[in-house]
Amino acid sequence: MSNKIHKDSYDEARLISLLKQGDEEAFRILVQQYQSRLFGIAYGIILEREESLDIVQDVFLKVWQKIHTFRGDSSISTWLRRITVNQCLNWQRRWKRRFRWHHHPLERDDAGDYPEMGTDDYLPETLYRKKELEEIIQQKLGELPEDARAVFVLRETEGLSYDEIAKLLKIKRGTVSSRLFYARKKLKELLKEYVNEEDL
Amino acid sequence: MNKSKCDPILLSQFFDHELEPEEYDRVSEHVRDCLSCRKSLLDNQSLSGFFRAGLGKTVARTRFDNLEERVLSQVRNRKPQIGNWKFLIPAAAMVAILFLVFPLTGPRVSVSGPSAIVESLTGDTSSVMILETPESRQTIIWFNETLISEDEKNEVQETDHTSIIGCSDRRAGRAGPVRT
Repeated sequence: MSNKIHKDSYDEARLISLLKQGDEEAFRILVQQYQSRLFGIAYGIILEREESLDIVQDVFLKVWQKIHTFRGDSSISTWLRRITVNQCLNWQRRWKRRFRWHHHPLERDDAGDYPEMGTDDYLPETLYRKKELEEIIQQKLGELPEDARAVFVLRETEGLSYDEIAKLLKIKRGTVSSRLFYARKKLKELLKEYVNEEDL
Repeated sequence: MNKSKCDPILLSQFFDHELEPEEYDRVSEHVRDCLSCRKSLLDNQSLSGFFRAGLGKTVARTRFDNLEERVLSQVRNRKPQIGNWKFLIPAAAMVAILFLVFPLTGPRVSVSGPSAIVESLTGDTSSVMILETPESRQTIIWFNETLISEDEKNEVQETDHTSIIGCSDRRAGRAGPVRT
């Protein structure tokens, strides 16, 4: 029987077993499977593309080295998410010690989604406005405290429940609720000067 | 939360579907009649939509080919050398056994060559040279029966090892012929 694993026939238990044996192909599949997802979390917290890529790289290297310690009490995605969030928060703490946190505007390019024809969303002004708001929100996200930002990002990007976030960040469920409320409230305040009544 | 009082934290939990069914129904009823809470929920929804769209575009614009290669190349460098260990451990064990067994069972051999001529005697028909190793204190007596010229003597020193007739190992207390 072949020991190889194929992306199409993805089986988590088998993947983990192969990873524990040091199978490089299994590791490649793990990277392909989770890289964009983990990058989304890292970018949401860090708001720097290159740094986020470095963090995701570190996460995978950590996984490679520590896979033998993975007991399977949770899914591998939960484990990966936990390592990513911890790496991000550690990264920020490290930088905070050296510099005051500043977030620079995101890179601008013309890539983007195209709305359905025949709707108001197709109007150039609407498109421009949407794009501008998406960028401003990410900029303003950088002004939130990191703990509130992490909760907001996990809720929005991963759709985690309060209990899941609490477990992941080792905080109380009530703290998750209050941080999430604070993050949204603060974002709305920060965006007030940029948005029209109909935007938000 | 009743019809007259708004609770923003409860509303946030309502938005996230984190309320118990009973409480969810109560807030839902309140929201139906409260314009400001409806507005707040719509704001949350827009905020979420814009954030997800922006992040989605950033992720889509990011090239992961590089990341994959970088990770894999680093992994190759850090790959546990299972095959080598499989070879190295028995090899190391074998070397250890050789070190333990041979000094006990094998013949004792001199470990260092002569470093100094202690004494030399030259007669008409024979010459004797006594050499001693500094640490192992082994003595080599070189006896030559015919008188030869200096050139021939050098040649003999390089080739005629049969003229070594004996040595003694003072430390071990044994003597016998040894070839150098």
